[in-house]
Amino acid sequence: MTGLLQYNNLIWLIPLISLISFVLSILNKNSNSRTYLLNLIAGLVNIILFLVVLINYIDIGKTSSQIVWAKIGDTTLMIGATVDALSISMIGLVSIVTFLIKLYSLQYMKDDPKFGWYFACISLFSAAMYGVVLSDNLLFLYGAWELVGLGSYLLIGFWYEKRAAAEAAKKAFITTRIGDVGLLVGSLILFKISGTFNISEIFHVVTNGIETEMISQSTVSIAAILIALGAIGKSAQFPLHVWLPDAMEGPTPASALIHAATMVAAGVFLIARLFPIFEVSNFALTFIATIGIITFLFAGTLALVMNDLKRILAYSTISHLGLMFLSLGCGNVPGAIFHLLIHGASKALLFLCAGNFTNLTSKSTIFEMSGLIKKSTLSSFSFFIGAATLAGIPPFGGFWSKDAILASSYSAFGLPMFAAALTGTFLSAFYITRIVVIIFSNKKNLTDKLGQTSILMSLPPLILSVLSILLIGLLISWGDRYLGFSTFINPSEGGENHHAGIWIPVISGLVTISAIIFSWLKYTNRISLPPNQKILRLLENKYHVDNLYNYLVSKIVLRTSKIISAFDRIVINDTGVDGLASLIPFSSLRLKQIQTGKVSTYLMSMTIGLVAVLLYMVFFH
Amino acid sequence: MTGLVHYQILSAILFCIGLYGALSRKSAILILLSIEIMFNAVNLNLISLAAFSQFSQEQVALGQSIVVFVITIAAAELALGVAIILRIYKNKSSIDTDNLNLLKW
Amino acid sequence: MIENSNLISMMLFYLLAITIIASAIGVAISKNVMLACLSLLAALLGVAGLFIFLAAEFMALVQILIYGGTVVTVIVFAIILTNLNDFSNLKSTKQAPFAILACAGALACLIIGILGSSTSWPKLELNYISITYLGRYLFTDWAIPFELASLVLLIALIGAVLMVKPSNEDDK
Repeated sequence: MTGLLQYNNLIWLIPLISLISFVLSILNKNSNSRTYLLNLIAGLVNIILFLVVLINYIDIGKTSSQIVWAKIGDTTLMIGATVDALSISMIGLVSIVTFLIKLYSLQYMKDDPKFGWYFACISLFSAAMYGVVLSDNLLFLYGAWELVGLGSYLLIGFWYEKRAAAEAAKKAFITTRIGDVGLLVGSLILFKISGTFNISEIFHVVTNGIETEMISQSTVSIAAILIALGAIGKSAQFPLHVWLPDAMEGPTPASALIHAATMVAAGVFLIARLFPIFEVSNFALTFIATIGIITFLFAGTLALVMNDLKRILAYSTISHLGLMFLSLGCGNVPGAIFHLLIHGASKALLFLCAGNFTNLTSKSTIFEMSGLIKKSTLSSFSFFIGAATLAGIPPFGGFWSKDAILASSYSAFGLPMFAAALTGTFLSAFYITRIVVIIFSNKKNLTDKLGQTSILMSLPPLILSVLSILLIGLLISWGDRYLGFSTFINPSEGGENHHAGIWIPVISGLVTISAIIFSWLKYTNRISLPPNQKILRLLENKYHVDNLYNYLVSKIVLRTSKIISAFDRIVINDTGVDGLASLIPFSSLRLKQIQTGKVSTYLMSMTIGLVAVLLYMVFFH
Repeated sequence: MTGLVHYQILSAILFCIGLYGALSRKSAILILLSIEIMFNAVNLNLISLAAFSQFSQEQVALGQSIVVFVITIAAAELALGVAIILRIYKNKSSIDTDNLNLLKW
Repeated sequence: MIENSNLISMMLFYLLAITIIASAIGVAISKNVMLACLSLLAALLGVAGLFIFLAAEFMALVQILIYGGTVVTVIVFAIILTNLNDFSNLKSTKQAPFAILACAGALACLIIGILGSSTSWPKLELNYISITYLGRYLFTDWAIPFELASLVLLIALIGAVLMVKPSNEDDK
């Protein structure tokens, strides 16, 4: 029993360790080695805790622990942490990827003067991410969500002396903030319906209410869509995607951590966590699926024309997140989460290799990198595996996850959605092959030899590539405790079978392979497919979305704020406050003219008073 | 037949003329002169009220005593006023009340 | 004799009244300083005459003595000492028009008040009192104000003398 009680409180240790390492990193900012050691130990402890929690979950099942935070009137606000399959998957992803990133960053950020602050930001970020993942309470989730945004802001704008980095950090924060308003209002609507912020209680109230028709479905739909808005902001889906490509101004390991594996996955996690609410409303699910497929195709087309390696990877991230949203919209939560894990591992891996390549060749566009296979064999090998996973070549992990999602898109929305998803798959394989072909077939000679990559920077990608292969093992059932990933995530649903037959995997495999062949042919110049100039320009301008937003902000928002600030300055300040204040000297300036100092004036005033009194006496008495 | 009202109206007219003089004159001495006119108006009023009183000798004596005091005070005030004016004249060599405005804001 | 002289008394009254008013207007308006001063004297003498009409001969004498004797003399001295023939001093102040209005207003109010205050005016029934009576009245019933008045006079005299004394510090 004491073991159980201790275990309950153990869950709190997971975010707490990161928080403590954040504080201690700030205190030890000036000593590189101490900061580094601290963070490494914290990362290791988190991984150990993850394993402990995993084993306990398989034995015991879902646990949660809550403490009272504040009492306001009749409402008591609690903070709680819940460990269930969903949060365990996320904790695993976050802890392992963070640890590997910390290993990598030792070498990458070795010469940076703000070394300590970097690790502090990473610790803060991971603490907040654990908070989001563990929270069983919408209010606490929102708080941790905002902290995640803060961590991202700090890391994107890490080199804030560069104007572009500062602007990118601001853009990221503001864009995600727009989405966060949706999350807040959605949570408040749910609170108003159910009277509590606790997620499981909200589920009970909502499902009961819909059955007994006490809660209208439209209210729940509205709440669901607003919460989806928050997820759209954080996961860089279609209207609010503009911040992610610019976020590449931050250090590469930070991009790998935040913008590949964890923070952008938080949006997907949010919808998965609150899925019973979304299940109630078909409209919300369709909305999410639509946004997902639009983003999948939109970003996929943009990844075709970018030249900077990190930018291509950023658009690829946006695109795959769209795929995850599509999966959620089709009702397939396990598929989305599995793809999240696979994508997290492989995208982080790709980013780290990109960092290695950039360091080696001191170039960042794919057309200028060459001779990498010889110089950094380990990184190139890991890059291959990551690209294969992401492209969806069987038997790598990406194939299985995409297949599950395609199947569910067909069963939920029919042929058009399936066809669109297939197109997206084609595009994804195409651009990944493009990267691989261009980088590794470049025959130009390197003029500057920058030496080999250190082992610390090539080991993490290797580990991640091994991991991405091992993740396939999750799909199989191991004994009778673990019956496959679907059952793991949705224990109550007893293994839904989304497979509609064998022909879906076959078609998707064919599509992928043909995309790879086409791309290889084009980019090794064996065939020529001249691009349509107009479409090319449209893509290069990123569909003018950035321009549109700039226009909106500068013309509408800034103008309106100018008007309002003018109103505030002129009416409220000058007339109201200053005006009232200057009324006093003004009136005294006028009134003091009475004191002329002349006798005749005073006599006159006396006379006027006399006349007044006389008038009163005569006429009113 | 002259009644009380004639004397009262006369004293009112006299008072107002004196008031006008006090208000419109620039030189201090002439203001004092107008004030003397006002005093006279008041005295006339008192004497006429005393004379027309129907009741007793005491009333008459009352009126006339008051007039005695008024005349006394008027004389004293005149003396002091002239003293002040002479002093001002010594300091500023002019008794134009338009220039005597040291108490101006 | 007294009843037959109603008409005469009325005419005398009006004569005196017009004199007084004319002199007063002279004091208020005239541009010549000596003329103002002498008009004051005329007004005072007129008022003294009215006092005699009202059976207050003692008062009339007091009036002539004090006003005519001392007041006008003092004023003339003041005029001499302050060189009052400076012409700019004799213009009216800037507020003269308002003064006319104010005084006219006051006069109107007073006359309305006077006319409306009593329904029947008492008949003239002159009560003569003797000086003895007045003197006794002053020194018994009104003794304290009498003493105070003399005190005031004393203080005024002292004050006046002090004011015009040349100061000892700066010798002019």
